[in-house]
Amino acid sequence: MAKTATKPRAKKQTATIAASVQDGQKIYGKDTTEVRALDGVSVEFQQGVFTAIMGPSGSGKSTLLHCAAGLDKLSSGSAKIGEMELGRSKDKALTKLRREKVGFIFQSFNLVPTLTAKENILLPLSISDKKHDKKWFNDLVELLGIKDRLDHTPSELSGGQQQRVAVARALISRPEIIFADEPSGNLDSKSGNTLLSFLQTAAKKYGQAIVMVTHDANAAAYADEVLFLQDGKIVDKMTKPTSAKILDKLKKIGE
Amino acid sequence: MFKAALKNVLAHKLRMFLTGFSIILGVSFVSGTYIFTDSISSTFDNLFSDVYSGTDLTVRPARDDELGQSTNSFDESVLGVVEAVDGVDKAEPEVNGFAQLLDKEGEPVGGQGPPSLGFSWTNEPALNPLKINEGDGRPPVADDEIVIDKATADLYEFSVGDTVKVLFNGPTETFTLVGIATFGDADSLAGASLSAFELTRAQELFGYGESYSAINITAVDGVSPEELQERVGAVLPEGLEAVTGEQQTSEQLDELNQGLGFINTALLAFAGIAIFVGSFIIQNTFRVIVAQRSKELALLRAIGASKLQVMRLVVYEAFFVSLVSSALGILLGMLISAGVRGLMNALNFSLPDGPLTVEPRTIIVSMSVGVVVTIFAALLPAIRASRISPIEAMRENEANAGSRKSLFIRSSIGVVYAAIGAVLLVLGFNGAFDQPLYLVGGGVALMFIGVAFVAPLLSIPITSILAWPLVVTRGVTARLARDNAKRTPRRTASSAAALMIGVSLVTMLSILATTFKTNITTILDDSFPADLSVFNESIGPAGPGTAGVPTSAENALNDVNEITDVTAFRYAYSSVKVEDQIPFIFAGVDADTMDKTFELRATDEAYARMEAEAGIVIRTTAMEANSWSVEDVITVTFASTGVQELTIVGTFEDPFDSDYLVSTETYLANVEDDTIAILAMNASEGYSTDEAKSATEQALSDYPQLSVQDKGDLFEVAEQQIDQILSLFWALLGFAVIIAVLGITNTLMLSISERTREIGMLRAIGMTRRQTRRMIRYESIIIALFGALLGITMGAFFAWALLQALEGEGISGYNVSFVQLGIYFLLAIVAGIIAAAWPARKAARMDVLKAIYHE
Repeated sequence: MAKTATKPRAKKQTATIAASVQDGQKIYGKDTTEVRALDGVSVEFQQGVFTAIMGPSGSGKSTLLHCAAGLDKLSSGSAKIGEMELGRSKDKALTKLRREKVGFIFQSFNLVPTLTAKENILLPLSISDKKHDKKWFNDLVELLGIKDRLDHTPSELSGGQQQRVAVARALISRPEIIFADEPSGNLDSKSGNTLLSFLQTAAKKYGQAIVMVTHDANAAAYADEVLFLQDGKIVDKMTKPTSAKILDKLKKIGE
Repeated sequence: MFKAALKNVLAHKLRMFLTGFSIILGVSFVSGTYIFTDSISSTFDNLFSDVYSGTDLTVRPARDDELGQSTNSFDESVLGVVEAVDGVDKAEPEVNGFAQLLDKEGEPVGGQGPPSLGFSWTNEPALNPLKINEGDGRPPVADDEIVIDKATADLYEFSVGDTVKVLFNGPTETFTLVGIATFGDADSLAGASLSAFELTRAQELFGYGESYSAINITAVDGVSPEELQERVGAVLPEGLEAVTGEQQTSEQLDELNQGLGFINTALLAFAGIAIFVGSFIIQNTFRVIVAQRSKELALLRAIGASKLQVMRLVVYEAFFVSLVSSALGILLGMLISAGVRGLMNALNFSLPDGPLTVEPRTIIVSMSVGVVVTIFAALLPAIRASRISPIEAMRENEANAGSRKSLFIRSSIGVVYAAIGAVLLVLGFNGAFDQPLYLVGGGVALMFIGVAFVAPLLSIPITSILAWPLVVTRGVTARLARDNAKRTPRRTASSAAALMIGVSLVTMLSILATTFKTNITTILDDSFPADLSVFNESIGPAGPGTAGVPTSAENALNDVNEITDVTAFRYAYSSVKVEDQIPFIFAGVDADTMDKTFELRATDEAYARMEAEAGIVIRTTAMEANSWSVEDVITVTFASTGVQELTIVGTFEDPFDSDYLVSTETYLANVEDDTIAILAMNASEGYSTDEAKSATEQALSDYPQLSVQDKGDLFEVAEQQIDQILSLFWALLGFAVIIAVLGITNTLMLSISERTREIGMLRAIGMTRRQTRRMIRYESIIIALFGALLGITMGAFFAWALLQALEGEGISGYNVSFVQLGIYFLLAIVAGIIAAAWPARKAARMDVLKAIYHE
């Protein structure tokens, strides 16, 4: 659980592994009803890299995200965030991990309706009883364009604004890795694009590791790297993706 | 719709159980009350029928319906008259009276408990209610022989051959126990201690001389009791009557039912409170259910269901829940009645064994109460459901919390209700109209409903204030808890209102108790200057402490130098009629010493004239109420001497046990029973109170049933009595609080399931399980504190209104024990914590992933 004990790897000396899954298996049910949601997946998510996970419904992409984030447990194999093994950790340690090292963005925003935008953003810090870095907060709301909406409650914000508040909330504690589950799924394309370019910038500018599950090729095109999942296995990887290339690949997988 | 409703109930068993629980408890009290009294009546019915089965006819002094028996006895010669009647087979005389058994330590048997009855032994078994079983000895034949009941013998470990001491209206007598008897097949008669003596000895002991109190008769074969009743009735001297065994059984049962009446009333009152509290919870549950299912209901509307159908869906659901819960409530009621019987037996009431009697009436009443109350409570939520527009099926938003505007409208209605309730309450307490009790009850209920209507609006600012200390010290979890409480003001207010009811009654009682205690000191000091008083604390004709002091005890004090001004107060309970009213107590007092031991602020010469002219002195309030004035002549009817005309010779101001006073001479001339209620006296000059007290105790050593009390003792006894009554109420009101706590639990469970996704998110961004538990717990505490605050405010008002009305009764002031109120707030916090235990655990245990993706 040491904060900075990540060992630099020989091959990629510039990059640090933020999270990883080794030989991950996730099996639901038993015998005849057995479903292998993940079937021997190994993957590393590096800091400063924006990764998209794609695949058809039931390919295991959400399961991979949940297991990598520690919201779900692998049936076998190992999942780590930093040096911490998630499978063996108790709820208390996992909570601490989520507080310090992980940020989440959900499709359905999930803001607390009774709190203002500002309070929602600062919620992770208030929960862990930490003071916030004023400059970081100002930078975030400035960049996300929600500076003048801070005193509004979620019901007074548009969908795009709500999701940007959720993004600011995910980033406020400067986590090492952010997991995003269809973050643009509930947004119109304009708001979606604004949000995705921000995530792209965040990875570059702040060295954030970002892992995003999506089924939208347009959204995945914002990522540095795209993983393709099928039947619980990683079947392909793509760096510097474009939506055309992605759609092409998806077509092949689908067949 | 019917099927859809049934499916819904089955799909949400837990939720329905929590809702149903309040109905179950309420109904169980209603049915338990009926089952208990019915069972007791039917077993006693059997017992009495059995005991009197051999007695065809009883001759006794005639009874007045209003004033009771005119005299206790009649001359022995009547026996001969009765025996000569054609058709009489056997006629056996009987005498009965007061006989207090003493246990082996010399203390009165039964303590302050049930009465002690003495009989003469009847030799004809068919006519004797007492029965000595094989091996339990024999009937009394000699002067020093006694038979006692089995229950008393067992409890105090008496066996045949033992020496037994007994008190009559005189000093202690000693007997040898020769037999142990049962009353019919029961060990005793509802806990009374029974003793029997040889006939002539009994006549002597009970002070009857050559007279009897009854003659029991069997008819020869072929003559019916009714026929015999006519023949015997024709020859009886005036003032006597003949009643059949059947009549006697039903009379005894009536008396018994009257005795059970107070238990009945108390249980039903608490059943009412429980159901009232429960109705808030039911309403709340259905409100949440409707809110949570608004999308589903809107969908039903969208596919063509009418408003009425949607409303019916909710009402049917309420109907199913109430049906099942009421049935369970009746079962629980059977347990409760068995429990009450067990409890009373543990307190030595020795109720006879018998099956539980569940009359059809019990089932009908209990079911109706449960079903009607539930449907009524679900009606508002049902109407709300019917107003959901089809378009809401498409909308993506959380449960509609209701607009502020409607909160204001609701609150205005609430204020009107509460105001009407308050007026009714004050009128009721001040005795306006004929039925103040209904006014008070209706006023209280209206006020509760009114306040419950206003509470949602109040809850918004008040919960903020109540939560403030928590928010400041506990940070964001408390902040979230407070906001959650405020988010659904109606729900918060309803849960709080349920708690309010119990708390307000407790608060009212505690303010009354504190005020009474403060007043007692002043009242006793001002109006009761006597240094010492002598009481009998046993249960007598009018409840505990009315068993009385024998006149011989007063005589025993004649030669005690240490005391002076010995004043006897004699009370006739509900047996003297003044004009057309029967006061509970009619008093005869020693006129010459009265003003030295009691200060009633009587008019000059009132006592002197009362004695000299055999007049009556009446309290000013009664004078005003009847528009009497001094020198008026009024009619007073006594059971034994009939109508007498008495002149009003004076009045008194201060409250006293009785509003009517006559001199001891007048009293004894008209009332047969010479038992004294209280003896009051002062220490003679030169003696301290302590010296006087021990001298009095010494002189009364033959009367262990009497206690001599100085003022300190009196204060103590009075305070103890107040505390005793209070603890009973507290135990029962605790029940109302338990239901309310369940209501809070229910609300929280529903809130949590409604906020599943939010809780999942909070956990995902780093909220620990502990913080989650805390958040729920704080919300619960805030709701509970709000309820306590409402309750304490209401209780304070109720107490004020009642004390206001009691001003004229010598109770003044308004004493609040802030320590006690503080304790109630602390208890509210504890109640909040308990209510939150389960929901908090559930929230903390939620699977984060599942919670986040919860629909």
